[in-house]
Amino acid sequence: MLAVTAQADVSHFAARVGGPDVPALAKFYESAFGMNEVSRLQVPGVLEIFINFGETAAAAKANPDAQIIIMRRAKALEDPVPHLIFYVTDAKATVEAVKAAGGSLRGQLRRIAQTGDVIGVVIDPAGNLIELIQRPKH
Amino acid sequence: MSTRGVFAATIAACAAFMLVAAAQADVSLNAARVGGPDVPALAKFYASAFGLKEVNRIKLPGAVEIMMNFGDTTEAAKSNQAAQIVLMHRAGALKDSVPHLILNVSDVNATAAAVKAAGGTMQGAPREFGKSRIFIGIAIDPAGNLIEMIQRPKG
Repeated sequence: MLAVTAQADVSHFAARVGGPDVPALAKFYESAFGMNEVSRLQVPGVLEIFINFGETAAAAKANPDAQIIIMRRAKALEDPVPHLIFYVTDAKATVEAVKAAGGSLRGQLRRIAQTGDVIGVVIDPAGNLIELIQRPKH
Repeated sequence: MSTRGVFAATIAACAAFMLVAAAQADVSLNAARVGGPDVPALAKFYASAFGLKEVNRIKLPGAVEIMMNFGDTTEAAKSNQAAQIVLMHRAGALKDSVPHLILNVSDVNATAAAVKAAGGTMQGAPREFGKSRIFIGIAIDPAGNLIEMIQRPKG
């Protein structure tokens, strides 16, 4: 009964990534993916920046979808899991935006024959992996 | 540079800006992902602890990915447009202190109990963030991934 109660009231609030320079990493996400800062948590020794998609800061703040939170992580990342997965409409253009913002592409974009999806993994300046998925146009 | 050269460079710069702007305008969050050595077992943990339902599964030679989302039923979870949680195979031990998943919960103590009953652990007891009436707990799934749980004040 306890578990059922807990299960009924859980929802996805955000996904989080970390890096040594939180403001710089936030700027990368803003520049590469068009995200905007929606809030920031700043207490002594802690800075977290909350960002979301939206053409303006006001639109991002009004976006009810799960946010992305950037926190400080001093150590280098040693994790092969892309913790963020983004839908994109033009994977090549997004890769160019990532590179222009200081990120990189791991390998090449590749098309999945069975589905027509184009998939790639980009790397932010802190080493976090982000998977890009471009759905086929119908 | 000639006037024509400046004009051409300006057009190229504008085109590049538009390319970036176009990319920015069409990006959205599809999912957050965590990994573990036994993906089906990890999916069972997320189903039991948080009530997530499997909405899709990709099987590749030697690997499986399970997509999950919230919903009272599998059908409701499949029609849930919110960002999914994806589980993938990760062979190595986790070496990351960042909680990549953040969940809103209405009763953090109850969810912490559900986490433990499902085979996870808690990184200490949930505690109030300052005097905000917001309670935060960090759960650890059986694969070592950290999950932050946030209980906001009611009303």
